[in-house]
Amino acid sequence: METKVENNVATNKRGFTWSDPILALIIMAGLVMWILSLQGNPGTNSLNDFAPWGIYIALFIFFEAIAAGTMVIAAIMNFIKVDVLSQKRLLLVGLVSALCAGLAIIADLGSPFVAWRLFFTPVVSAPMILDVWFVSLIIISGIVLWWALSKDKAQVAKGSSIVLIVSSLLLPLATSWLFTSLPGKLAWTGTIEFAVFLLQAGLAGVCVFYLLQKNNDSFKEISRNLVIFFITINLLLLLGQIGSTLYASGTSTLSDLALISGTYKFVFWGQLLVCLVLPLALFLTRKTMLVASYLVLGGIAVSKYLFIAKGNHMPFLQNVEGIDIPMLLSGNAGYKTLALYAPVWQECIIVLAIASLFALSIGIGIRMFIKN
Amino acid sequence: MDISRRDFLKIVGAAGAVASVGVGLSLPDGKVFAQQDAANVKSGTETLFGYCKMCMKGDCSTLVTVENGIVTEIVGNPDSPINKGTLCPRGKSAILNLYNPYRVKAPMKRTNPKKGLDEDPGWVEISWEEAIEIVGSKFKEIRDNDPRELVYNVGFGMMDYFVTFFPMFAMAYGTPNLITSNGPLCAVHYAACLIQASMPVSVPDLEHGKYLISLGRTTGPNFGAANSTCRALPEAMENGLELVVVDPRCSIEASKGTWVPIRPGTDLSFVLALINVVLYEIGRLDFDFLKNRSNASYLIQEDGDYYRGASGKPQIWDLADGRMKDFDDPSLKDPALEGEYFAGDNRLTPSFILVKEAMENYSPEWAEEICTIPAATIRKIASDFVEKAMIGSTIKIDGFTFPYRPVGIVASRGALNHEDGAYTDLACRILCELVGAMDVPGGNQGCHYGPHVLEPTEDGTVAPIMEAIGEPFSYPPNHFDLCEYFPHRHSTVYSAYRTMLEPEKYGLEIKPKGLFVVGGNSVIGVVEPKMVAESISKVPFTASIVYHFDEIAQLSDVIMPEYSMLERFGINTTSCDFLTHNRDTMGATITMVRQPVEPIYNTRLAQDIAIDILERVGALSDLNAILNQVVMLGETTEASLKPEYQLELNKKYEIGEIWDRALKSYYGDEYGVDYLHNNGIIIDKVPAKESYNYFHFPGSETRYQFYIHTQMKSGQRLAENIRANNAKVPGWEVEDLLEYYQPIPVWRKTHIFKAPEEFDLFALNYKIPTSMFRLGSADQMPWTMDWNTDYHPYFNVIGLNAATAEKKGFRDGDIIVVESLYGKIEGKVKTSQLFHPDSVAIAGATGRMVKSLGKRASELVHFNVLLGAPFGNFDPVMGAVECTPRVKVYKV
Amino acid sequence: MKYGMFIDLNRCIGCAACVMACKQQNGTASGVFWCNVYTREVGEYPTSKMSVIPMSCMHCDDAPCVNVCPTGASYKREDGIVLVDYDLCIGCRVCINACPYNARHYNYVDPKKKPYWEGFELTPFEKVKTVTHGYGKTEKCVFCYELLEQGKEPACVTTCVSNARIVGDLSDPNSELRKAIAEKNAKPLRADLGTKPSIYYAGEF
Ligand SMILES: Nc1nc2c(c(=O)[nH]1)N[C@H]1C(S)=C(S)[C@@H](COP(=O)(O)OP(=O)(O)OC[C@H]3O[C@@H](n4cnc5c(=O)[nH]c(N)nc54)[C@H](O)[C@@H]3O)O[C@H]1N2
Ligand SMILES: Nc1nc2c(c(=O)[nH]1)N[C@H]1C(S)=C(S)[C@@H](COP(=O)(O)OP(=O)(O)OC[C@H]3O[C@@H](n4cnc5c(=O)[nH]c(N)nc54)[C@H](O)[C@@H]3O)O[C@H]1N2
Ligand code: SF4
Ligand code: SF4
Ligand code: SF4
Ligand code: SF4
Ligand code: SF4
Ligand SMILES: [Mo]
Repeated sequence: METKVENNVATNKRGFTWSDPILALIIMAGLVMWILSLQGNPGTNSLNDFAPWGIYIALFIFFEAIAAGTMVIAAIMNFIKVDVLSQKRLLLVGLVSALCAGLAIIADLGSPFVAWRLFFTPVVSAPMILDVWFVSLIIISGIVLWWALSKDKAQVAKGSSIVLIVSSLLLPLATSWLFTSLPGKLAWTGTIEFAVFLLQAGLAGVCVFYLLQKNNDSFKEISRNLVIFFITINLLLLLGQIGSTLYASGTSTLSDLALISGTYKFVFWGQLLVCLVLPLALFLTRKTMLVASYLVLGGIAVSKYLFIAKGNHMPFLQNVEGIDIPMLLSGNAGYKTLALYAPVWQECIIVLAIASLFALSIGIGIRMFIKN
Repeated sequence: MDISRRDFLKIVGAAGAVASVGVGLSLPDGKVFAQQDAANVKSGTETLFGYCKMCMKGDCSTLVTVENGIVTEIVGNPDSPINKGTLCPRGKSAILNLYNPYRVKAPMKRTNPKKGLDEDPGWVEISWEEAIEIVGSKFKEIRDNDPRELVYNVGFGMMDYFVTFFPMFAMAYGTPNLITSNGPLCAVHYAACLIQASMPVSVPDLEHGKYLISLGRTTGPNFGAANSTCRALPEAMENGLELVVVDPRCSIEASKGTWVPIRPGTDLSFVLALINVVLYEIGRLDFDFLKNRSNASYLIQEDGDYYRGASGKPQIWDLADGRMKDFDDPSLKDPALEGEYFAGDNRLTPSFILVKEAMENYSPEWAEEICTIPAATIRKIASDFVEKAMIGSTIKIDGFTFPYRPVGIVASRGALNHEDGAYTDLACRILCELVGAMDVPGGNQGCHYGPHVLEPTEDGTVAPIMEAIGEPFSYPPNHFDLCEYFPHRHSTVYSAYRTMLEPEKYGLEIKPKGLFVVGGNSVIGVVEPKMVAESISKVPFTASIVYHFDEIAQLSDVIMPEYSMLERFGINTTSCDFLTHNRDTMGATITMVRQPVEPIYNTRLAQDIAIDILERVGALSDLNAILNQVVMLGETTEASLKPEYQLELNKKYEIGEIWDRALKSYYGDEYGVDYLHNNGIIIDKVPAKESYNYFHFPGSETRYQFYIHTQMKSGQRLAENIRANNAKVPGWEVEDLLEYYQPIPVWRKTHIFKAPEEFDLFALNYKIPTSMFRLGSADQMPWTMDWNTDYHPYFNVIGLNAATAEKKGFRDGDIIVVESLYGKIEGKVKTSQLFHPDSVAIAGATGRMVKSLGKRASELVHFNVLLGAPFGNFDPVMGAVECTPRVKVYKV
Repeated sequence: MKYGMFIDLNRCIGCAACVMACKQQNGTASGVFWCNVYTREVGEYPTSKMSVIPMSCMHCDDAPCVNVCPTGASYKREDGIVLVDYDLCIGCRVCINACPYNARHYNYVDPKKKPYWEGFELTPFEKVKTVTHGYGKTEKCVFCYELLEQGKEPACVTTCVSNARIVGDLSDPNSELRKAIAEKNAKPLRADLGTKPSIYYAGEF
């Protein structure tokens, strides 16, 4: 079990693995769904004026976290002499995540052919622009670093690494700033989100880092300790958030309250126990740590979705002005309803497709470019 | 028509069931609007004069913009003093009434002989000639045999013109069985006709009023009427009008004024208690009014009748010289209101005393038990009412001095559609009379005004009109609704359909051979839908003029589709405001024209359809003869054709020609249809003073009934006739029937207070701006229905007081059953602070029993299912249905 | 010239005529309401009451929607009207999240594929008006600027059955608008958000 990565690498010589065609199929399915949805057909998403952002955006911030986390580590490794291979693996994961984050955004927009405006007619004052730029910066400097490593251009590698570190640390901050700067969605405006975004990125990074280590790797132990450390502080942060929600009053915490006691309460608590507490235990007792790290990554994905959901649940008019909006109740009782937005199957397939693309590219990437 | 018979049958065959009718018809390869596309429509933009009929009143003038044959805009006509350029949500959505794909697009006949709400009629398109031939010949056959056997049902579906034309159809044809689906739930006219000689109602004065008690009624805002009152009310309140809304639910008006929650169906007890307080605790009355302007001073014999002197006139005791005099004796100085007097051994008392004594036991404490309004609140309202009445004060308007009584109490649908509704309405007027607030500035106004309205009878009191006069007695009954026994009924259409099921059982010698329905829907809009539907199904031949595939179409043998509102040429005159007396509409008579837009389907103008039928029936000359006497220009406006404009009896005229002659006779030669085509609207306003009926009969020139003598007499006459013919009145013994005809309102337990224990709540219904009626396909209209669904908190839900819901263990969104003795419905719970704890509040006029109007319309809450009006359970005087049935609620 | 509106909540009866007027004027897609009327309950039975408020775009001077729009599609004109340039809009919907008044709407479905009459084709009215609304674009109240250009008032103002609405020039101290605002001491909705709306409300909500 612990040697999965090893085996993968071993099989590489023989090219594709059994999982590839399956992933390819899912990707095709997603493509079809996406094209259908691009035609503006009814029912291809379940967003509305009160829930304008859904699972695509959740996917974006999830991949963003992975990208930022892994890239920082990859870049740091540049300054401590290690084998280039594991650094390259990290780089690869970071790059692919950054690109997938971009894909998620494309899927979210009504049309892919307008996205370019984000780059070429930017309003610099708009927070979203920073996101775009940092993601782009990560991709570019990532590629440069890769190139530098392959051609061992030490100086270039150094330079690009620095850029990479800076942009990777700023990206989560930029995104959390984007969310906290939206007066229409109180649930997102808590300053604590800055910390959450940053630490989740870190957690994602170290998990990937751990997963990419081989047994004999010198970083195996270090990465394990890092994972333990990040899980712990994420856990503490989350508990802090819960505590403040329970004791604080006022509308701004209503949605957090709804999160822990409303429609999504099982998802919330489940994620906390299964994806943070349990993994922590496993890592401390050194049991199935590989599974544990996957659990953690899954947990991050879930919590990103919950983050989007709680924001949607907070239409200013309903919760602050106390206005009665029947379409928001949709058969459920009281403000505790978070079921404002739940993705339809078309959206889910597209999300799965992007995830599959992520897995496939990394698999193939490692086999093709990162030979022992 | 955009569909061949083969396609049609194919579609029906394929989809099967009723559902396919509406949809199937509309989907010949998807081209719903083929007709329109095909038609070589005018290019360019034109603006047409129009008036709206998306509600029954329909007195808002419009300007309709047509671009290349497509209606793109409807705005209020700024020149109209009534709506001043505004339109309500219904009027603003009217474009979609034209482009409603569920419309019937051509005449059709039924191929499936089996009739029922879920039988596919198997419609087959026919030509107009064939349609008229089938219907005309059938109706002729019936008429030649016995015209009474054609039942003719109209309603608001075509309020647009049934009032202006369709009564004439019945007269010309010769059937007395003209029944109306509008009415059973708004029996609100009787008392106004009786006391104030005013049809349809009496209204509060917003121009001078300062204190208004609104009882189960809207002053306009609750259903967003664009015809002036929604502008006038806020203005009046800014100028100090105090609005007290007595209603089981807190409407927007109640929210702006003072809400006094009342238990449903108990209004009479509340009003009687007010009278009690005024008489026994306050005692400050408008004695001058009572003595000289009412029959409170008339001397009453022990048998309850007037005591008549040698002159045969009612007598009054003059305290000034201690003599009895004719009520109109010029020497009369100080009429006695109290004491007892003798004529021989005939003990006489002024009616005032009788009324006062009758009110003695109706204390606020007594009322609180029944209506849940705290006794203290009742006392407060009573004293404010008298306080604000400023008894004795006067006001000068246009140089004429009126008594000034700026208070009123007005009741309507919600308060009056109960078993004791007539008494409630009469009691309200008695309260107004106590302070003299009758047809004077600030007070209660008969909405009918003019030099003759308050004309007194030889007994000196205002001569009752229309429904207060009532139907003459005849035996055996000529009417399926047995109005011989219920002469003052507004509409008892439900009784008609009940007896039509088994005429013999009710002593009828006639049988329903044919039914002609024009825009009324007695199935869904009234009570006991299943019973009515069954009754219609059993009629051998039913023809209807329809707009879309509603329940009536569903049960017809031949359906003749009419133009939609915007496609109809029409003229409409409005001369009185049904909601309030206010600056913009008081004394105004306005005539509007509607210039039609190009029809998009193979439909016709209903009047012309009817005239064709009458021609085929052979009744054309009868029609013209009637029209020569009276042509109605609007609901309350009649014209009589001048000699030069008389119709030739055997000539067939188009309705436009008839209107042209009527207009010229009414306004003068230059004011024909052409004038309206050029100007859109004729405005004619009398000086403000003339809109107050006091002006026409000042001082003691007329008297109001304080002691409702004519009602008592009417009851006695009825009883005599019934006994004389030993007729059997279903549901009532003659004695209990007489209980409803007392000259003084009395409180008695109605059926809702005799309901079984478990029926612990009262269901109630109220209109909202986006769902008032079903006319104008209101319950289908996409804009309003989308908005209702997403944003109107009280639409299509079962409204419950939060505490009540708590007790029952319901939460918002739970699906519950509401069950009455007559039927049950399901709906989503909406808990609220705005409803009386004993009430189950359901908004709007929704609910369908066919799927041919689309999924959405058929899935809305259907309040009417809860209603029932078996003989013995409605108000036998006004015919009011009990609109707040006892119900129980439980989770499904 | 700076357009603004006065809405008297003491007069407004929540009839939604303005909502339908807006639908008719702009032919917005099925289910989209640039102009809306909201209801809430205040107090507890029996002293409770119903409170209504018409809301559309507040045409904020410091408009969050404009500030967060990455493409410059959302912009504010000299005359104070906030508009969306549909050609520039990429449909990212960050502006919808930014607007506290829920004034913005996104065509998640192609209006041509969601007819008013479900299951039927577009009505001629839609073929003229609704088809101009693009899929994947964010929209909102445009203050009926076309009507203003013709010297008319916005549709929601013209039709208001209770004369609750006054439109006019905020920059002109003698305008009927400014007078009404002063006289009834009308305030923007939730001025505390700092969005500086151009719509002023008189009376309690
Ligand atoms: N639930 C509920 N029921 C009510 C009321 C309520 O408020 N709520 N109001 C009651 C009152 S006060 C009254 S007066 C009555 C009125 O009741 P009705 O006189 O029956 O009038 P509506 O129900 O408005 O419409 C009757 C039928 O006309 C059809 N129709 C719509 N447009 C047209 C058209 O253009 N031409 C033709 N020929 N038909 C058309 C509709 O489909 C409907 O089935 O309803 C009563 N019933
Ligand atoms: N502009 C315009 N004016 C119209 C009409 C129109 O179409 N347009 N329609 C006319 C017609 S046909 C009618 S019937 C009238 C309808 O006008 P209204 O008679 O005002 O009828 P609703 O608007 O239904 O109001 C009924 C009220 O009674 C309340 N209520 C229900 N049960 C009870 C009860 O037991 N006691 C008391 N006190 N209140 C109760 C309800 O909550 C509701 O608020 O309007 C007439 N006026
Ligand atoms: S009140 Fe509304 S529905 Fe009635 S006529 Fe006026 S605009 Fe039309
Ligand atoms: S039209 Fe006027 S009264 Fe009606 S809801 Fe709109 S603003 Fe209020
Ligand atoms: S109300 Fe909303 S949409 Fe309108 S300007 Fe302000 S922020 Fe922008
Ligand atoms: S949706 Fe359009 S208008 Fe809104 S922020 Fe994005 S680009 Fe700007
Ligand atoms: S101003 Fe025009 S666009 Fe804005 S809400 Fe009013 S009607 Fe709609
Ligand atoms: Mo009515």
